[in-house]
Amino acid sequence: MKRIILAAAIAACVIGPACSLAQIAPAEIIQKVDDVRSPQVDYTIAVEVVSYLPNRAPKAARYEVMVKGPERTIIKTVFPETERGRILLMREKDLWAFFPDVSKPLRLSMQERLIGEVSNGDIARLNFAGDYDAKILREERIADKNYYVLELLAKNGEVTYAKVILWAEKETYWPLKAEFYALSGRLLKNCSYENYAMLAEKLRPTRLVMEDPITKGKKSVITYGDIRVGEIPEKYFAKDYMKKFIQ
Amino acid sequence: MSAPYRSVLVMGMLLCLAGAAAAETSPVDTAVAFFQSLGWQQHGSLKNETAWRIIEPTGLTKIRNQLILSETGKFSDQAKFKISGRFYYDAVYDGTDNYAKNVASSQKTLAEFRDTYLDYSSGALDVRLGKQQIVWGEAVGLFFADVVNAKDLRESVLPDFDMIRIPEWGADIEYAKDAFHAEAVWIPAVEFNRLPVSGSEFFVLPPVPQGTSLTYVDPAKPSRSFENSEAGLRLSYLMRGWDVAAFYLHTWDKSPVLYRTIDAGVYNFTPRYKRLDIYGATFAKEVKNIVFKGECVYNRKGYFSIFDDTNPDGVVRRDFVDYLLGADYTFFDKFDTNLQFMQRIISGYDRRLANARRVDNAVSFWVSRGFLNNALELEFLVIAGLMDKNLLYRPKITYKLTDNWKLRTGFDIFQGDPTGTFGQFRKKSRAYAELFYLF
Repeated sequence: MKRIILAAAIAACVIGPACSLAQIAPAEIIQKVDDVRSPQVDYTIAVEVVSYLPNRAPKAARYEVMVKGPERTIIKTVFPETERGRILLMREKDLWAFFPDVSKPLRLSMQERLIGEVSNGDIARLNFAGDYDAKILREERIADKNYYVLELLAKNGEVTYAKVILWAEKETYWPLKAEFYALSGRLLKNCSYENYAMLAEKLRPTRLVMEDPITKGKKSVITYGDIRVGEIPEKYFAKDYMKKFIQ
Repeated sequence: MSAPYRSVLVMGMLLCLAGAAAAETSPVDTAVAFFQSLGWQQHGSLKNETAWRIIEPTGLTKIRNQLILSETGKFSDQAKFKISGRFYYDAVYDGTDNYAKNVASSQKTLAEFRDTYLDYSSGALDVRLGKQQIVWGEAVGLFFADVVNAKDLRESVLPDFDMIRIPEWGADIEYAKDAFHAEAVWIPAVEFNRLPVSGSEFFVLPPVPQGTSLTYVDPAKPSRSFENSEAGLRLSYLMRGWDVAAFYLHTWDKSPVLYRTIDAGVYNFTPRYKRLDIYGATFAKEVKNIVFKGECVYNRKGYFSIFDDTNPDGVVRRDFVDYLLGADYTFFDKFDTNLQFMQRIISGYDRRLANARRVDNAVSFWVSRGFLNNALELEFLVIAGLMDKNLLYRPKITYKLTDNWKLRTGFDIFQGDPTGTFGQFRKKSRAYAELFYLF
């Protein structure tokens, strides 16, 4: 399914090293991973998505993303001009888009495309804990660090991806990489979480690379930039409010 | 051009539109600094629309060059504004002799305010005052519950919907609390549909028996007064993914009712605008990545023309219901689709009603596929009347040349019986190209 853009950004570390030695439930692990990926407060963040295709110039898009909790997101396209004014609203598992040339919010599914390898849900939703049941497949050691390898199965058909395989560092719960699968079992995307930096007072991944597993060189890079933490009114996250964001 | 200077340019042009002296009461630099300090933004687009009729007699039907400018900003966190204007010149009326003067008078040039309003927000309450589009409904590519604004139908329903809708001066007052939303609208300055004039590409003849002579006088628009204003209320609620709404609108039939008399075999039409009460409901819900949508609109005592020479004015009133059911689904993560079924049911049907059936069914199907990171987008829309096999095909290709330039080309192909919704335009099928520069 789709995880929102923004989500991806958050950091980790809530847990101390001692915790990693303790038995921990898979659900708790992915909740901690979610805490790393996205601050658990209201915030607005600048997001850039650069899409790459073999033998073609990269294509960039920029968004302003407003997040309220794990299940409220607004994505405003600010660049390029050819797409400026397009707005996505994610409220729990419901999604609407506002297109300037239609001037009304239209209900969408999470699977419709946003840009390149990034689907609406990639940008608008980052709630592994709410959307998936998890189990620990194994542990792996990569570059001198220990990782949980988790299998996440969608709780229902309303998410973008039916299955996710997620690597999360045992000590910090920082996500390292993930594989996203369709219901058919086909691998749709490989994702790596990179460039951990301070965002909203914690170290979080500020760069996600989503690669097409079949076409070499086809990928999208999501970069998280300026973040402003502050309460966002609940009424912003209503489809009837979307028209107020148009400029 | 830097944003501040662009701001000055935009504001200047908008002031010109208002008939004010755009000019410089102060140095440009002062104005630039002023707009900079307010954090106002300027955007707009330049667009060329060229269309070619592909059925004999073939020929150019449009060479329109359009400029849209907008200025947005805020006075405080609670008060924001938008001013926008649209200007166009269609060279087909000077560059060809395809149309008569009355058509050129109607469609050659335009200068108008578009969405121009003040937004005020306080707690759960939001107010928008000004010229605006108020859009209700869930349907894709069709107007069903989208009943508030008048429409510019001079090119039928082919332009982008935000250009078909005519923004109207009024107040839109909204209250939102959790999943509940209430909206009250009041429109004191009512607009009416802009209809194609005789001789234009999409002119529609009044309903008369074949071979009959007719006369037609332009209808007088109701004066702008409190009594003639429009008002409506819409309530919506979102619960467990069910997005449901109900509305009522006390409005005008935005197209004139065709009252007629018959004198020596000649049909004399004296159209008049009449009041209308519309009730409606809409819903949308996603189930397993399929988005289901529906709209139902009940028109109480709508107006129909009737082929009955004994009827004194050629008009009868009937209740009727329009409803639509639709579904969106994305196949293989690549093909976005929408399928809609529409039906109209007329209560107290009379077979002599003009261009109407007791039950009329139609379907629409839309599919879109992006390529090259969505820089290239292929779309296809077909709307089909099931009772009379009327069809409108709309294949379209959009290519984003750069971050600012976009090219769109396609066909609008009408088929069907000459008296049908689309068949009446079967000789107006066209190819077109549109070049956009957005800034």
